[in-house]
Amino acid sequence: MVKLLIISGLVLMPLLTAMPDDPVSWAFHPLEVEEVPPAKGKQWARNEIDHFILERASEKGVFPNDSADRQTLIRRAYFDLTGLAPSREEVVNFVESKSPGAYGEMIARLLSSSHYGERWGRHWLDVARFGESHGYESDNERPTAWTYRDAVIRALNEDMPFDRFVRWQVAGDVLQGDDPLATALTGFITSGSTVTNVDGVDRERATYDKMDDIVSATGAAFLGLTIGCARCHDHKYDPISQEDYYRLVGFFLPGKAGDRNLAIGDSGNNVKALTWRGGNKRSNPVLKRGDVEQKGGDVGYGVLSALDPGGTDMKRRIEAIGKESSDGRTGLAQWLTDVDSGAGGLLARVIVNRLWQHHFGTGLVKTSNNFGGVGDAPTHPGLLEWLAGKLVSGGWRLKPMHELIMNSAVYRQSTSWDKKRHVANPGNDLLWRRQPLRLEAEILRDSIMNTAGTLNRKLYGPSVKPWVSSDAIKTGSTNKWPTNVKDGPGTWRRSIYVFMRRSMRVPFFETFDVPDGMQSRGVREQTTVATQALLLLNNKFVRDQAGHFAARVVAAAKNAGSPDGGKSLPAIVEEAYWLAFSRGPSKEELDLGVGLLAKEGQNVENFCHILFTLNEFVYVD
Amino acid sequence: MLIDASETGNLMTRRDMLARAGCGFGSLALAGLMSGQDLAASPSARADKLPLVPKSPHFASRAKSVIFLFMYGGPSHVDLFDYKPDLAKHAGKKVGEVVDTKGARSSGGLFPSPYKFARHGQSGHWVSDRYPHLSSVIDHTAMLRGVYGHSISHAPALFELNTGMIRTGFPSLGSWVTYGLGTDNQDLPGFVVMYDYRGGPIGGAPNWGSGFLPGAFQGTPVRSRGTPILNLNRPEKLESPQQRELLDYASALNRRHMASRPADNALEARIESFELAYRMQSAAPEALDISRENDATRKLYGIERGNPGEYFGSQCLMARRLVERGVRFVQLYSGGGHGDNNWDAHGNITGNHNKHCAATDQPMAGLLQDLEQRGLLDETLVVWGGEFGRTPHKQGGSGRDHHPFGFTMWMAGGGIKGGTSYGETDEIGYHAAVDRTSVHDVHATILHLMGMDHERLTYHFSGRDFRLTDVAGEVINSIIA
Repeated sequence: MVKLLIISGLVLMPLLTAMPDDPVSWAFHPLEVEEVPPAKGKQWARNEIDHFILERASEKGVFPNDSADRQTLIRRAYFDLTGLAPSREEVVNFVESKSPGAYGEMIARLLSSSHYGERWGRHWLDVARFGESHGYESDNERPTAWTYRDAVIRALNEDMPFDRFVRWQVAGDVLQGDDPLATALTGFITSGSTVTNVDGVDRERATYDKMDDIVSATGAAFLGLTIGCARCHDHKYDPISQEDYYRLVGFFLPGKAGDRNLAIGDSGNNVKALTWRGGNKRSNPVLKRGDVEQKGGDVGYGVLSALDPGGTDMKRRIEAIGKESSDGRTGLAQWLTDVDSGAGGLLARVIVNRLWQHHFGTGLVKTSNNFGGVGDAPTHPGLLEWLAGKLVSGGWRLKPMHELIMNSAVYRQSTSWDKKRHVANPGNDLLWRRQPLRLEAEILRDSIMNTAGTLNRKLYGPSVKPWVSSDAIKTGSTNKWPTNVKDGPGTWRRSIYVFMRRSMRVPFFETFDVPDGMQSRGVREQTTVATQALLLLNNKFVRDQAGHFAARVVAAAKNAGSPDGGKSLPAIVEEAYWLAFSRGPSKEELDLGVGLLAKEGQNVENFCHILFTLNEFVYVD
Repeated sequence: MLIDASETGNLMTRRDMLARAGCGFGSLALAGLMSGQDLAASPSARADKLPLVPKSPHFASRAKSVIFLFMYGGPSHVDLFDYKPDLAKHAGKKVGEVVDTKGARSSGGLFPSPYKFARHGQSGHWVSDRYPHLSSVIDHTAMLRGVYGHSISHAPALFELNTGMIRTGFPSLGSWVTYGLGTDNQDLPGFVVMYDYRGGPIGGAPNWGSGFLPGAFQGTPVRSRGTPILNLNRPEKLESPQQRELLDYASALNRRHMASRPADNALEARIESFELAYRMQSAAPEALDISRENDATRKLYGIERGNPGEYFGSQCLMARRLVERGVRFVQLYSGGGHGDNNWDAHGNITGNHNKHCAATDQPMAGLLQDLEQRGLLDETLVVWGGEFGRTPHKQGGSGRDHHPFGFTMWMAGGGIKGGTSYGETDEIGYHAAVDRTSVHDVHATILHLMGMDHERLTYHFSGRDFRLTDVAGEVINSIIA
């Protein structure tokens, strides 16, 4: 690394002072929980998180904003934890509450909502590269894969300790065979794409492609490491050898995906669930240069040497967890969550960083799927360590971590902007303001239905296939989506329940940057292009929802005692604003809305439709 | 008010700089970076106001538009354009016995091309027998046979060819071009991307992203299967004047909303995107409708149903229709998804390249001929290349590995002196050896042909003026007419 410090004669040292001493491997160090720094600016700080924020802020003299108003806070919290806007009544009650504990109580209430698991489960499905088809040319459907999605939502809703959540995803079938949730969670292993219709040597290549999918996803999702880079050669930037890679392959090479009958539904009845079926340990050669025709020595199974400081025997790990499996997966589960002599410290850092990312829009480590040498260093290393330590000492429960983060002053601050601080810290990595966050595709679709009053809030169950334009379906010789769907309550489900076919993503999702499920994704792209605008302006689903929204607004105006049976224009604008933006219109906004509605040829449906497109609808402060 | 770039956190970190430095990029303008001054850069201010209106180039341009044919996965230079008869002499030898192989990842024996090469046209360009149609129009091309890149992996190599940097988050070539020149047709996106029907390239949208440039300059992808752009028809019972009124209303509210969030430039980009969408409703259906072309033209591109070029040919034809209508930059991807669905021929070079060459040969030749017949070739720069070439040695059964140390690109039309070539690899096609050409050089040349000085096309961000070519890049004058 030393030669990197000098570029064309210019020494970079001044820039390096804020970097950890050993930039390549900080993530591989054991957890070292730092002391909470003293608060600089005690009045602003609400909890320990803020002390870390202030420590860095005062180094640069760039201090964060005060709290946003209650109207903003409730909308922020609702979208953040459930992905659904608060009702008018909920907003009014919260804003008018005099109780100093009202905010904390609201957070606690939202965390106990079943919609929490739907919201945060979707984040995890990106990381788990979840899909319900094989991918590639034929892209056969996997009609039983939804059970993994449900298991993820259930695990989050019951606040399953994260270490158990991880262990069950790699070995739940063995660790807790009597709990259907444990076995259903092994759907993580099977979630990725699979090459099909191949013969001969290509079949063996396909097997190793599958292994690569599993090992890469395991590394990325749990440890934020690009282990897949070591398939053909030692990792260029991280201490991961090719042998390490194939040792990890060893856990999965004997197994395969298979359906099991599991009682995971509400009814208690068995349903077919796509799970992982382990096998017996088998010979596991290193493939030189990743080539199936250049097999090297048998490496068995094992873990990453760099995260196994004591060189613990896998047998001891399996003993430690108390459940034996021939393919060694219980040992893998133990290692992943072993804070003292395994990967547990990194596991904790990676998940608290993901929580931070979704609460703030950007992680403390921006490259949340890459904590390795070419990933970004944390902006607040001490805070990351402290949060990771807090997670572990709190029994790996995520809900208290959400509470901690959301009760901090840095989370609650406003979006206020000023040029002086902007110039000092244009990237806002000091977190001096709240960044407005754009709704992801799924939440945008959910919000449209929620605003229109059509959203079917039913939880769980097999995936649904909503209406898709036939223009989008007819792309080849076979249709990969039904052409005769009529939308209704059955398809107006939350987007997490929409069938995820890899070669035929619902255009609404494809257009708004939903990943294709071909590899683990930590950070979604956020594009802004005209095809998105076209969708919101002209798509039949959006237009239909605008019609339902209009009917709802007129009915509400009528109920509110509006003259003319709900046809009073100010009442319509007022009701529509509350439904779309969780607030009433200002006087000027009221006039603008009424002015539009009064124009010849305009109507309530048009007015409601255009609200779906507004920046305020799509961005949450 | 002048806003210094986006707030979206795409800032280049110190680590980015290290990664870039470690991969051989030149020095950075550190003075600006460390001073933190908010220098008033007028192009940035202009871009924030009216992003896509046509702007004057720095000097008279040779080309008005670019069509970039991107062969995703890495087409093999030694099997297509870079004839290496000496490979036969060294067949089976380890590469290291012939050249210095630092950086090599696989080390099978040297592997002569299974294809026959011949000289074509007046230029005598060597082309393999995989490209019979292209060979017939090869005199249009200037061959760059000594290009090199910095990454052996797909994603960083893609980023390098598209943005000049191996890290994600930097503006793409198409974004820089539309930032510099705007676009001539305000009713269509200035920068259109069409990826392969088997999937997008690895790395996805950052390959056509605008990085820290305003969002209006990012590439607009059209769908890779079926109808290219969905939702172009207004809903029933919503007439155009009423939709216009709705958009004016939305725009008024959006601008009020944005007033207190001036640095969130995605908000501005969103407003622009609705305006463009409104105009596209009338312009895009016609522009993308290749059924309006006569049979002779369709035949030229080889898009009859069942032809190997059916798919890519349709995209080439759409690209011609777009540049004809004033779209500034079109990028087409041949190859998508995984494995042999793109040019990534690890296991079997002929199995892979036979397929992809057949899918692109007639379409590319048809495009050059069609542009010429319409008098458009002089003002349309066609660029061909992939993120790297492939090794002169064998991998797997009969495949070749990724190879960034020396590979071929070509350009045609728009100010290019056809029949020329620049750069050579060594005797086995391993290293770029003579007139080595960096991706920055390629980008500098493209900008030059578009009438822009790559050193003056800058954007002020995070305290310094950024360029597509960082602090490097030399225009390749010898291939310019």
